[in-house]
Amino acid sequence: MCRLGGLRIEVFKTEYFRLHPRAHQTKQKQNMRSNMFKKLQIVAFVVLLAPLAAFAQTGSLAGRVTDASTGEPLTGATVLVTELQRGASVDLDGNYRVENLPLGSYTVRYSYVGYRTEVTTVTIQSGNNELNMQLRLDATGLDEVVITGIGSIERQAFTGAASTVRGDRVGNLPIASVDQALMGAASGLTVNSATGTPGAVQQIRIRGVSSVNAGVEPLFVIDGVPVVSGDNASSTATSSFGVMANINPNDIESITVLKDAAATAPYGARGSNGVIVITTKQGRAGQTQYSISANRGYNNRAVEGEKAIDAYKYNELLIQRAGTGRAGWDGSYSTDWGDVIRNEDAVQQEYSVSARGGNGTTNFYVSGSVFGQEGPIIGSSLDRMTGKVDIAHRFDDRVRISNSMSGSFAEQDGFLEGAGYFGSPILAEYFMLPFGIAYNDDGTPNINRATIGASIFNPAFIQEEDINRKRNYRLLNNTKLDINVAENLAFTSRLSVDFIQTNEKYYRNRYHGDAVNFNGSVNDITNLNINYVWQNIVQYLYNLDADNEFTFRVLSETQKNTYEGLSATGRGIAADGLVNLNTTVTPFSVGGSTSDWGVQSFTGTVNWGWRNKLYADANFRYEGNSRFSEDERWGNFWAVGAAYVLTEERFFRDINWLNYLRARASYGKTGNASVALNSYQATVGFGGYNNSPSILTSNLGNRSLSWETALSYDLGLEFELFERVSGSATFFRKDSKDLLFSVPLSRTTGHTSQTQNIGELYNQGLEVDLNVNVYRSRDLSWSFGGNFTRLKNEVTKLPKDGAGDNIEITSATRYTAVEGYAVNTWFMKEWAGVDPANGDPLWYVDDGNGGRTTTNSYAAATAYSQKSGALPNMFGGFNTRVDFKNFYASANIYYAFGYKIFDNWAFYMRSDGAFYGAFGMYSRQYDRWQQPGDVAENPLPRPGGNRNSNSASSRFLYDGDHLRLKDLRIGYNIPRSVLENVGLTSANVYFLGTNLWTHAFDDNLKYDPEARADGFTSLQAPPMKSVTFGVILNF
Amino acid sequence: MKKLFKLTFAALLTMVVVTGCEDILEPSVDQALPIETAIKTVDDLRGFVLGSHDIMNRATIYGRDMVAGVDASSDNAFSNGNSGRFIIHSQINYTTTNGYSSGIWNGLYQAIANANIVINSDLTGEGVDYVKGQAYAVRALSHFNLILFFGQQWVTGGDPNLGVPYVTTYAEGENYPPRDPIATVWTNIASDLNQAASMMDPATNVGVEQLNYWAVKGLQSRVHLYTGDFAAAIAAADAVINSGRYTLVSADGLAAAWGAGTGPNSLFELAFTSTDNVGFDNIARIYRPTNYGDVEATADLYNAYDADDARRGLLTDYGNGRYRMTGKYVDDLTATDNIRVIRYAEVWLNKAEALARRNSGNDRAVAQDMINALSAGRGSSRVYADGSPTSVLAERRLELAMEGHRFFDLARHGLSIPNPPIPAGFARFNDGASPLTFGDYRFAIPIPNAEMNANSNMVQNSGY
Repeated sequence: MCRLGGLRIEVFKTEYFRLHPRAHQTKQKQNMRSNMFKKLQIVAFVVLLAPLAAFAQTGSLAGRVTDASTGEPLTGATVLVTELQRGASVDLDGNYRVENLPLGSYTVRYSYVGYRTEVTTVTIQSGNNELNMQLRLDATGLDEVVITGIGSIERQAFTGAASTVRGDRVGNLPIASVDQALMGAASGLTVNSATGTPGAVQQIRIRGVSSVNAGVEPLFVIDGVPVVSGDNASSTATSSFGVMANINPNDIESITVLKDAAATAPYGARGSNGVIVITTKQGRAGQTQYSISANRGYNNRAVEGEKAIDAYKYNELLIQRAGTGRAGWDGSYSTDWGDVIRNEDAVQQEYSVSARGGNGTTNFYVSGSVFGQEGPIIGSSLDRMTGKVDIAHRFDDRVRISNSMSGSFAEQDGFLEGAGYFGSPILAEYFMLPFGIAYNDDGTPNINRATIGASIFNPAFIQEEDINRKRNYRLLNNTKLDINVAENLAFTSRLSVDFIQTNEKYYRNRYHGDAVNFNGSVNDITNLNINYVWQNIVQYLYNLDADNEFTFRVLSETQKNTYEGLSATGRGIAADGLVNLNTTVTPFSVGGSTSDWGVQSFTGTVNWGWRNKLYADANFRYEGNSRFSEDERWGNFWAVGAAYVLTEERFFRDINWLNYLRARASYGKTGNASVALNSYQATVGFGGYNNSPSILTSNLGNRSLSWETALSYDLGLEFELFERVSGSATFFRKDSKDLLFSVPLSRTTGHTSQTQNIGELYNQGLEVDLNVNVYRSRDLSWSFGGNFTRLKNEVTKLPKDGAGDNIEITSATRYTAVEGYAVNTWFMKEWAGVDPANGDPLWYVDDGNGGRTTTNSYAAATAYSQKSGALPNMFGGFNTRVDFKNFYASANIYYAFGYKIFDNWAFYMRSDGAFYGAFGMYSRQYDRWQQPGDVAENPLPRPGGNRNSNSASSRFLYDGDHLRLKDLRIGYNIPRSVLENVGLTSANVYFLGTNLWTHAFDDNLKYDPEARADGFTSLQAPPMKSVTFGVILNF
Repeated sequence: MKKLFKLTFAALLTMVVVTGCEDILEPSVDQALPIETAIKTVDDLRGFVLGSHDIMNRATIYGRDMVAGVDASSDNAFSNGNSGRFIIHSQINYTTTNGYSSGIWNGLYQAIANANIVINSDLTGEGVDYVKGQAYAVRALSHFNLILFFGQQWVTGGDPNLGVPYVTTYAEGENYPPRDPIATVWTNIASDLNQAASMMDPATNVGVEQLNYWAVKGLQSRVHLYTGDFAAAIAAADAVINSGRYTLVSADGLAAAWGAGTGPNSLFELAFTSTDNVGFDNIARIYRPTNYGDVEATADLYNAYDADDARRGLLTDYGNGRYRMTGKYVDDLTATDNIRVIRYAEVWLNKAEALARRNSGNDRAVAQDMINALSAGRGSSRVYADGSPTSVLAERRLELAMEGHRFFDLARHGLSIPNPPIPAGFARFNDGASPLTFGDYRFAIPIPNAEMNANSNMVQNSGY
């Protein structure tokens, strides 16, 4: 393996960098050093045998590969003769054999997932050569490579901050969107879901929120190229549907989260909020390996949530409020609309197959999968089919071409959610009256408005009859050409096309619901998003002398994204079952639009490595973005980093218990360009009035709009102690300035805001990762680990208005942007409970003397900081795994602290009389004041409500602090003795439970503590818990 | 070898560099146009004026809220909260963050921005004057509405001088303007209307769905009534009345005239077509018994009509003291009811009121004749015994009910807002117990929170 300047330029290319044999020696030496000489795990025997035949000009290499501590054979490990790109897999007994090797000296690489790769030099003599190898568990992840934008770097030489999640942690899970699996798995990032409906967009924030108005979403990169993420559908009223739900998690080799400036530098502005690099499985030389997996599970709400009140209690409240109960209700029944909409034991199942192999010249990976998951609400589901073909062919020593193509189809049956839509089943659960009747006597859904009991539609009928369907067709193709121009000069060109078509269909029946007025309606929408990326990379390796190694790279990249949308609505359904536009009576509306954006960049990097001890790198990037005017279009960004392996120094090397210690630091400038398209241009929009065209002002424009920049630094320490404890600690700080800020304007200008580069904020925090191998033997092993992230965020500068005062962004519930506060700090009137004397609501108010007292006037109450925001400031995960003989059990616990959730609909659901009779309410409304002396949760219910008691206040704000058992897995590896007879190499059956247990520390929080990233509950489907049974077969 | 190496390296570097091409970074503008290229012809100018109309059509402005909200906060109507709408109006319980304030404030100023682009355009040629006249009228009407809602003219205890910023430029000048004095605003409104009338040829027929010469005259009669310039109000009204273009619709034809989706003898109404409307947010869905249906008429309003009055027929009695306005807005299904901004009957009443309040010579006798003629014309057997402002106001309530006038008509007369009984179980301002006393801070709605945050020159209304 070539390691020049610590860089490894993907497996394939390394074989050509043959000119520096010394490099190999260095590597070997380094291996020995890091192994402290005392437990040298490489036991190499090169046995010379006399040639058996005179003509034998080749030799073979064979031996055993085992676990260094247990002696277990490492079946499936790979042995590769790097110069020849020929190798073999280790068989069931731990043996391998490579035949017909021309005589000579070779570099041989032994690798296995989760173990440290060993590289050694062997001289092949004629006949049999034997080399046994023992591999050590890779606790620290030292041997992992960090996949960055333009190649991969060994972790030791990597100066940036990154977390890697192995593919086996994200595959075979009961989740529709693979990014869901990152929650708790990597430090520094939070994952929130827009809704619990399968396929929803995941709201990922890496190291906090570093912008107020510009984008805060990370960039997704698949196999080296930026791809489309988020939602490609037009409708925001229906369930969220992300394009990441089109990815087959079982195709993923690893996911790397790049966090700091040095790590994200190759992606420029698009990576300013962090980068999630997904590496998919590629072909691999050796005997073809087949894998089949299947799982099936059942899903229910992870947390029950608020309960709707029953009719009996409701009637009591009505009587207390205005003296009379529900007219027309005979007291004989109560409808639980939550029961009506629940999809109990929703089924999810997944089947996937893959084959992986190759002869060294041509390698391949092929896979296919089917995934289906029902949602927690009746009528909601997600189905996905995927296929992937990856082929790499080596023409000769200089040229290799590879192509990776995956095609997928995902279909989501969603529903109206996320706001107060009458057709939303979630709205119905709480807002329908328990006096309403859900089903007729014959079992059909009741659609008689008089007896449903509210204006809201009967979800049993709507979910059955209406269609809210989104389909994503995604074709992701990535073609790569590698040319080794000279021994130390390589050229790579990569062209990627990400094609996504989204077809949406919204059908409304003609009997009940939103389109009764027009006898039904159909809305079809088609959106096409084509994203292409062309990268060209030249890299040059240069060794100044025996100690100094340099790698130089020049990268140019062009990305263009175009979008086309078409929408049409027809009204009047000809007959039931006809759901296409052609069969509607009246064409009602059409719409179409296009947009595009482009990014172009030139990057230069240099990496320097000194004696495998000291590493440094620097990069510079010149990037242009179509979102800015010609004068402001191009920006300059840079980053520098350094790493120092302290255990290479004699002083540290002599500390017995310290196996490894590395310090690293990086500093750099990044840019963020995620503002709305065409923001810099002053534009007018077009519409219609009375069948004539009309023109409206649409955007004030700002020619001087430019990049949002951030200066960030990152200090880290990585260690391994006692050969069983490993981990890292990282401190970071990111100062963002020239924030792309939608500066609120006086509305008298005709505009609400103008995007300007004003404002500053910072994020800082600490990330800690720890892993402990407590015990390890042949039959029993136990390990545990965890990660911890602490975040702090503060707005330090804001735009000023004409009078020089800060322009703040606030609402009735929070400080979105106020100097000295974190972004989105909850700030509201503070609830002081119910007055036991008279049942009045009470809030706190400043008493003018520095203290505070209570008031029953909402208007008079003082708003206070609630000292936390919508995202946790402390979070992470714990995991543990026990292996006993063929059994294993593992658990992952996620925790999050320091954030609050606001119940956005308590205004209606705990209205203390304001909406009694019109809508349902939470069951907890029953605990109300009735007579003097009562200590009640809710005030006296009164017609029209009790003194604005339901207005936004901390009454409806809950601590989100919680612990959650994200997954619990119990499995059994079927013994080899059984498998041999049926031709399998390995077989595994398992039970997996996700979200089985949740503990919220705030007893008043009834909803699931996993809320949306904005912290508001918003009538969306709740997260699910599931039990899954699965099997994985390899042969 | 070395030479080959150099050549290849140079070639590759070139390739890397030429990957880029500037076109990639030139964004398309497909749905919108840069403003500098948008105005080339008089049709483009007209587009901006129609854009202002389009803005006024919004449900937050004339499309619904600015009409239903004004009646729901008066003795004409209340909200039953059926869909959670218009409760704050019914309770007169406005906050700085509610959408009512921001909808009206933001929308009207956007309409003004559109108008200012037209007014300040250098374009000349045939038809430009008329379009610019329309733009002046938009600007005047919008500021007029703004001052009714936000001005402090009817509030005691605060700064009685606080009007609203009168904006006459677009994208230049003051981005954070202070509030202009009330007197200045009224002067500018009158001046803009004069300018509009002078630029618009009465002979040009653009239909009632656009601001036109006669609408401007009608608006002048309204504006001068509010400022107490009765002579000017009468003159403007006379210009309309004497034009011979309008008559009062007969009692028999009244329901049909409203039912046609257009008001009887509108001078100006905002058009809603089957493909261009506010959808579920249409005004008929709020007034009629639909699954919104929040705003009901009070028994007090229903009983104010004489039994023979054709206008009572526009209301429907649902029993148990429940009434709704079902006749003026009929199309809750497809939302095509036009919103009548100014009707001939209002101009008629404007003149009657101006006479009654000027009260010089035989003014009140003429006023009495006018309101009796209107009442009789609507089939009512009520006969007014005098031409006092009180009588005119009573007749005005009957004619313009649920059209977004009542609260301001009371306020203009310095009257408190009565609090007639409503069915049990629904909340009302002052807990339904007492009128909203004239001068109460709630006679103005709050300046939206977002404006206050953005503009430190802005002063909040008293009490908020």
